Amino acid sequence: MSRVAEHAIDATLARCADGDHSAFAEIVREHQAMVYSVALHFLKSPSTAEDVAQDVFLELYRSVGSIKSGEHLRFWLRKVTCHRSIDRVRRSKPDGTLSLEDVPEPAGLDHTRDPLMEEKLWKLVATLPDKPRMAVILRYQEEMELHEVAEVMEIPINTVKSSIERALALLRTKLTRSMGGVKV
Amino acid sequence: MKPIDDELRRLLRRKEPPAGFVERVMARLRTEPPRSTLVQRRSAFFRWPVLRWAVAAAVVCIAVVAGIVRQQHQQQVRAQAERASRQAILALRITNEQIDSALERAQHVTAQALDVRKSPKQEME
Repeated sequence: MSRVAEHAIDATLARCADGDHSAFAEIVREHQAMVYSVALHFLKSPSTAEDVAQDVFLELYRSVGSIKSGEHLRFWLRKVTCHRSIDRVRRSKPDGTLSLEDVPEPAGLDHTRDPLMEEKLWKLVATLPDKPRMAVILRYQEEMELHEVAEVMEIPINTVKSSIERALALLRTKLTRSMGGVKV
Repeated sequence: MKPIDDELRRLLRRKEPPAGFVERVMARLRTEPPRSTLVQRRSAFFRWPVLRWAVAAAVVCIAVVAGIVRQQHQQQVRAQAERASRQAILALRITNEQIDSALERAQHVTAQALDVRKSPKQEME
């Protein structure tokens, strides 16, 4: 990120710390996709993901004075979203029902996609245990390095590495089996 | 077929939240109590009358107990000093008496010795 952009974020953070709601709205607008997507990919429910994302931003508002820079802000948001999402899954009891608003919007026609493969992969990612699932989401959604994932999740880097490797191996095996032996 | 890494990147790409997300966050923000700093939290704590009185009573109790303990300590120190002073005076008195007695004995011995030396001379004369 350029120095000018960093200065602009610092200024927005300072205004926000002074209680400027419009500055806070700017921050929410800038980072809403990141926070919402981490929660959505982990929780699989758009309504719960939005609820968690809102909670994360309200928590940010309460502690915005402690945020030092734009980089720190991104780290903080990823970390809090990751922990709040894992907490939400642990607190909730799966009842097997799905509300209407939890059904994803039908995607537009995209000839580069393989909808069957995508659906299977989506389901397989959902079967991964909590921490490896979150590590995979941070690695592939946010394109984060292993040490960054380790810092955000507050676990050793070797655990992140082995979790992702095992998750990928598991996904590959299950996907190959479900696609009738076609290697992926 | 694409490698699984590419498929995961495609599957897990960022998605925008439903329209009006920012407005909903801001609406929730307006219902939140105002942000409180440490100083504000401390003053809010003292706004609760029962706690204010309890804290005041605790401070008074601590001050009274501290005063009593300090006074007792001073009394102990004073008593020890007086005892030491009395013992020193007694020791000086004993030493004085012993010196007097020793001097008396020395004078007596000296007087006897002089008497013994005088007697042969008188006999010669």
